[in-house]
Amino acid sequence: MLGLRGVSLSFGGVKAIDNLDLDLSDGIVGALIGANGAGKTSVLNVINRFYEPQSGSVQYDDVDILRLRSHQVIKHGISRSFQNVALFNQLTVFDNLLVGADHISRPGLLTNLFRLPKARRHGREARKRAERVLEFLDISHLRARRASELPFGERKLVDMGRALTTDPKLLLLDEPAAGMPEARHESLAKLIRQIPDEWEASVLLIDHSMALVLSAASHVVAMDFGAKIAEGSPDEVRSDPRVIDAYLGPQDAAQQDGAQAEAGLEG
Amino acid sequence: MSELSLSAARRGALVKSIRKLPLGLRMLAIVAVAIVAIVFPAFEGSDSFVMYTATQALVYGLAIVSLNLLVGFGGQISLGQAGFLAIGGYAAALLAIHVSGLPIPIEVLGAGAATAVIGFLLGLPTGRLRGHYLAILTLGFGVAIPEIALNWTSLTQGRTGLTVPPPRIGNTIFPTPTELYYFSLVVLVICLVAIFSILASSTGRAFAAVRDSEAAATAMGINVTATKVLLFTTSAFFAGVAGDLDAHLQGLVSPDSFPFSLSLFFFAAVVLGGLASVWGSLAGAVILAVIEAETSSSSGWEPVILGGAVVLLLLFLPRGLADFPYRAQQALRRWRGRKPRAAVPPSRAEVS
Ligand SMILES: Nc1ncnc2c1ncn2[C@@H]1O[C@H](COP(=O)(O)OP(=O)(O)OP(=O)(O)O)[C@@H](O)[C@H]1O
Ligand SMILES: [Mg+2]
Repeated sequence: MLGLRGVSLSFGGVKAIDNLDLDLSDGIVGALIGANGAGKTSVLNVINRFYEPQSGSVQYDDVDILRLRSHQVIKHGISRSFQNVALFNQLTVFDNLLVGADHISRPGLLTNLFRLPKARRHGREARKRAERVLEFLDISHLRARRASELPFGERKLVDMGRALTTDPKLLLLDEPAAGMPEARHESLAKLIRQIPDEWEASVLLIDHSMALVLSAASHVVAMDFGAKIAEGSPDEVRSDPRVIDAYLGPQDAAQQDGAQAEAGLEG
Repeated sequence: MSELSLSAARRGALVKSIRKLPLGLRMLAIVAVAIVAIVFPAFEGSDSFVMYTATQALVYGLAIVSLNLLVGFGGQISLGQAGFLAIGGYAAALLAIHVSGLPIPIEVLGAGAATAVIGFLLGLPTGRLRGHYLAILTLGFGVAIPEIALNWTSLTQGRTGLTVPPPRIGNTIFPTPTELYYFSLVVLVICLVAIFSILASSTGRAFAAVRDSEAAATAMGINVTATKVLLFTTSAFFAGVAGDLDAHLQGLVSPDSFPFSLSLFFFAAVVLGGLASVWGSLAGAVILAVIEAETSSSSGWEPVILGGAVVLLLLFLPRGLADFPYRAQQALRRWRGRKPRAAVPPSRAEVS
């Protein structure tokens, strides 16, 4: 169970996150929506300790996340993908996944050099996990391709896969559908919906595609200018006047009521 | 964060991928190189200058691969790699002189370990220092080490240097050029096996991950600073071993054995051979040793010729020598009138 309390983050004069409370229960897919610059990515960057908030607390189960250094966050089961995709470009897809799996045990350099039993066990386990992710995301055909060669949509999938090979309890996905043709959004939503059951992980999903969010998430939080403006089931949030205002502007919100789902609430 | 990802993107553009031949052809090439390396002294063993040059190529090979670990595989930089060789060389000389009857494997490990300690210390600031700053730090290191050797006379005999006895196991010593060649070859091969083993493991993946994206590496639980320090330590270890080999080859270590220009030549050879290619680095080493041998009488021309070679080569083979077999294969296919296979399979049509 993830809990943010009164988190605020600003860059100079810009308030990226404004006194935010956010809860995510285990075993569900939750979504974070909001226009460009609303502060969604900043929330992920706070959770995995890339950004230091000026105030507030972040708790995951019994762990005070703000006491950790960023590379330690994953030890407590929190993994993430990147909005702009940060793959290891010169490595193959399979090696990218292995790096994710490598955090299960970190054999030392000499253990690896002499290929001691511990190193071999690690290798077997890591490969097994990577295989499972390839299969789950249906990207086995990409395994030997260099990450830099892939088109953006497939890079996004690999990025998500790498986060999954860490065997997380909480998966943070930053716009996984970006760069993917609309036709594939539904199958992506289906994959994301399966994650709580198949991988025993909860998901915090950020996306501009309202269709994807509606289909994948059971709980939605909407942000605007760093603050939470609505929270609830996808339908509740979609019809919340403040959300409609934030997305479409107050004047034409009334007539646009029906059109908004179609417009995808694109920012 | 944006700063991080920007620098990662820049590095990504620099480290162009090495395109490889099919496994079978590569194996064939490796076997051929191995046979040439093993039988070489049978043909040239009587010419001690040729044997010296060949052994120098092996020593440089290890030095340049150690630098490529840092630059090509790890995305870091060192303009002072010769400083590591100096430490390894002096450590070898001191061990051989002061510990009588020391078996050569222990001496080599000792020289590597002593250098690794220095590499560890030099690596400590890399958590904060990047790019140009790291270049300046390592450059300073490479310049400082010969100066220290010059002035610490009680240990190093100053400008006179230390005479290095030939390698020995038990009561057998190996003083001839051919024996020195095989000694260096055996040590080089053992080091290469170790390096390949590291690179293929989770440690090697961590090096590459830090090179390609520090942010993503961190998110995957890699301690970026610790990984860089480990990389510097590892690179220094192998450079120190190269220094040990060099000490035995020259029979002498002195402050003049490790000029700053040597560090730059190593760096040029890494680029010439191809970033993140062990085989390319070995090829670069052969070229460096041959240029050095050919220009030794007309001193001063070495940097010019090496610099010219780098420029020419990079014009025609921007990915370094390591790309040559692939390009040759493609040219051969074209010449035979077949359509060359694309290096990158065409991406699927649906791609945005
Ligand atoms: N490293 C940074 N330095 C300065 N300002 C930043 C930084 N990161 C984010 N911001 C600012 O914080 C605000 C929130 O940005 P954030 O990236 O969190 O938005 P977002 O909701 O993810 O937007 P998008 O949908 O475009 O991805 C923006 O005004 C942005 O310019
Ligand atoms: Mg964002």
